[in-house]
Amino acid sequence: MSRPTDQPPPEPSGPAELPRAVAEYAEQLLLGTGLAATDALRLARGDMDAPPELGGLAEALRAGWSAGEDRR
Amino acid sequence: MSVALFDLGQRLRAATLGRPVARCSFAPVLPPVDPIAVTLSGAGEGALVRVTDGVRLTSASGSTALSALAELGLGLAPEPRPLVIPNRGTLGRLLELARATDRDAPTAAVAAVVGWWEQRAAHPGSGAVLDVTTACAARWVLGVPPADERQLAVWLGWLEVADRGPGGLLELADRVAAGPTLPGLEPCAEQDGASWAYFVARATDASKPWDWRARDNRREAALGLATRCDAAELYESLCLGDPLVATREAFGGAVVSGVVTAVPGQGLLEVTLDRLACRLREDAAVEGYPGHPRDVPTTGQPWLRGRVAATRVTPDERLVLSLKDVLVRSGPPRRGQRVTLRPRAVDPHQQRSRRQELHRRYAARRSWLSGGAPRAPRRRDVPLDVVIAAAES
Repeated sequence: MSRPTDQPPPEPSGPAELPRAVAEYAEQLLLGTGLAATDALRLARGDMDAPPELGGLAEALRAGWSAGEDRR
Repeated sequence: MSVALFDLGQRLRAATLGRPVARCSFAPVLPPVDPIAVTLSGAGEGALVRVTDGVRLTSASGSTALSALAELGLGLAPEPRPLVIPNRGTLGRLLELARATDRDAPTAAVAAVVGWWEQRAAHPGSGAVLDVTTACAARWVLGVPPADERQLAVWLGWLEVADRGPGGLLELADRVAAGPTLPGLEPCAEQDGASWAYFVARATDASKPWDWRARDNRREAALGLATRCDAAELYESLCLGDPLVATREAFGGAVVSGVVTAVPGQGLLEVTLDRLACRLREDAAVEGYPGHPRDVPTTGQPWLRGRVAATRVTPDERLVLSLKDVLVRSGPPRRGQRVTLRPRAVDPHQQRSRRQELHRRYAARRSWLSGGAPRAPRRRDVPLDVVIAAAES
């Protein structure tokens, strides 16, 4: 289920809460890695260490997370 | 895949913050000067065109729909006016209306302007047409799946623009073009100006009647293709001058970063890259700067120039890029120094010279483009690089 497009963006209440549409997209992208969307969020935030085989994945997520900080 | 993961990191951040996250540091579009925003709904006789210049709002429908643009004074004036639209489809539908306009109709001049907009819209970097949905997606990432970023309503919601009509498009256009413009993009406005002057002179020359709807001859088509290709190549090159874009592209290999591990001789350099992704092919002309991708200098000559000699993977799975013909400003790089490399920046002056040469060659009597018999098609092997480039584009 996606968010109605004419509504303002949702305000998640906690780090583990992602809008369902983006969580589903993340899980499609992470298919085969054994990671859930919340794991991706924790990896991106630097709250979780990735196993060595997923080091590149975690690096890309973290770089994206920290890129463009406070620029709008 | 890594670029998609980088984007996912940005999406997750945008979703968590509940606001857009910057995809680039500079505005990726030229600020529109005296723009006209258009929305188009319905089809056929029911097509409704709504237009605003930021002061007045007009609308018209059916076969006279283009009169809404004429009411705002749009025509073959000395200066072009940029068009702001919700998406590329709107321009296609405007073009249908323009093509159906009678040559003697009061809106014939407006129809011609639509023809010019359509022509310029195929030139990336041009400021003639601002497709706000595409421009917003170039500037920000949202906390939604990528497919949702193709919807105008999503952008209006995330950027908190209340006006759902053409006025809202102007507001989005202002927001997306705010701040410093991508360096090197301003000359694109000059190209728009030159193209407009040529178009107006042609359309208004009573001695040589010309219909903008007429198909290009072979020479015009060939030169038009060269111009569009040059514009795309230049815009892509300019975008790599944006620190955030360069950072993202480092995950796809269009930009590479690493540490100098050897200086085997004069004009030679070996860089051990951070990642295995590298799209720089053998013999590709490259330029570079000290530091990480985000440290891209915005002005001046490149710090390093060279060509890719070879690439190899070491037993510990590191990618090493060997460079030849290396020239470095302010002395050779030292071992251990971090450098970032990218394809050599496209020079718009060289592009122009090349197009002038094409123009000269296409006009030559011996050229089949200027009227000779068309060449018979020949089949031959396509170089692997061409196949890869086609697959990537």
